[in-house]
Amino acid sequence: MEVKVNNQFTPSIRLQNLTKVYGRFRALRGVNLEIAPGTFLALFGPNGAGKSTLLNMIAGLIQPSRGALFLDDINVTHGRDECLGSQVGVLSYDTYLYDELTVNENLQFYGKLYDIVDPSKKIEEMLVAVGMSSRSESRVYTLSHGMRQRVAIARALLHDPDILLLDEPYSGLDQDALVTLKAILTAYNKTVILVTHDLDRGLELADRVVILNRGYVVFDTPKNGLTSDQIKCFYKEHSV
Amino acid sequence: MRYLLAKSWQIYRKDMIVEYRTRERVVTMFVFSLIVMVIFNFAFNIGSNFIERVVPGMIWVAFSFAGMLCASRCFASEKDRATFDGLLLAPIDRGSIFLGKLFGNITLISLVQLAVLPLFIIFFNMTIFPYLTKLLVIFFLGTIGFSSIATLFAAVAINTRMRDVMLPVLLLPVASPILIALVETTRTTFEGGDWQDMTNWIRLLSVFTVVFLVASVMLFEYILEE
Repeated sequence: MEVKVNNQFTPSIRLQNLTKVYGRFRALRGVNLEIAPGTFLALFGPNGAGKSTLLNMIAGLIQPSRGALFLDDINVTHGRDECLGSQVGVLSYDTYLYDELTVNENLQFYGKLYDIVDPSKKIEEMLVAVGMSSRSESRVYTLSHGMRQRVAIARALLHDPDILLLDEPYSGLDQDALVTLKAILTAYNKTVILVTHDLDRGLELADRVVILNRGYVVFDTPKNGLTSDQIKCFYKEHSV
Repeated sequence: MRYLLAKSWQIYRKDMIVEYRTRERVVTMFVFSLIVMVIFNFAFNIGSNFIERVVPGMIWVAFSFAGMLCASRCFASEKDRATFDGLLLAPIDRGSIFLGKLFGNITLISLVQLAVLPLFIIFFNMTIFPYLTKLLVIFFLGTIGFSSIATLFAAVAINTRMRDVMLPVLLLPVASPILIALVETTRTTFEGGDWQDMTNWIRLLSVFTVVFLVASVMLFEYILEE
């Protein structure tokens, strides 16, 4: 099922008939999407709709069974080079942080993997931005989940990605962390794809809404002119 | 190649820091090897001629199973703590993940060998100083070869439900030529044999080590694909 919003731009991300099959289970069924640079796309859907699968494909963690994925018009369906790989940042419920390393050591490690020129300076800036500079020498296992998520935000943005993929980033966050995340996302002016069950938070910052159900795109529209209640009604209608 | 090794070094360094702070794998491997040694010590009479024929096998039983424990945990710990995706997301060649993990496994297995071998010598009243150089070469080659296969199959096993069972099932048949070569060369060394007496086994060991090392680096990326 294809629902095209606007074909008058050069897409940052283009999904062409993306399908993912696990044995007999079809996680994604012919998904077609074109996402312009700078779009904040909120992706909703019931459990098992294929949202995380879609995100993992864009991140390069899994490959589609059929179809093609383009980043900046380059086919990355079956692998991407280091340059394209560094364009994507991921923030999910899993923080990807090593408990036995300090906050600073974790970020230094990822900084070196992402070839950041002066990681120490960038790390300091990011830790100040997420409010964790006083805990830079603390081991991650001593931090609360909210603190770890804040460090994970720093990790995801450390290499200044052009595309930010957020998979349930609000889960388990304390109030401070929620405020920090919202501030960072508000200031972030690049492409964002946000997967969340929290409709209100997702709609707050999004300028485009896509709803997935059973692997299909069932709803795709700019947020302009739509109320949260309308989207919620449509979501309830189609999330069976 | 330099870029590949530079990223491998970062992963290796991170693993060694984590291991230094937790000692999770080294302690398990050391204790396991010690248990094997103690059990065999009770099973055989020390001082008999039979000991020289049996000790090489005992050594490599201890080290191969300790090596499996080590390889199994190197990916399992990343998977259990949900950090493996962090490595896969990084813009690095996946071969550098394999090499970083391999270097870590070689280091830890070698450390355990250095700690346990003197205990074997004491427990079984062996003399190894005349053969030390030969033993170091054999252990070096064997550890690299065994670790290459073990690291590769550990990556295969982490995506299965019965990963603790799958690794030995997959690994031991493939690694058996290397293990046999290691046992034979070690036994020949303890019996006072020279390099010429074990040329064929050393060749087998070297060829298997090189082939599996190269193949593992090349195949690793495909093993990770879901």
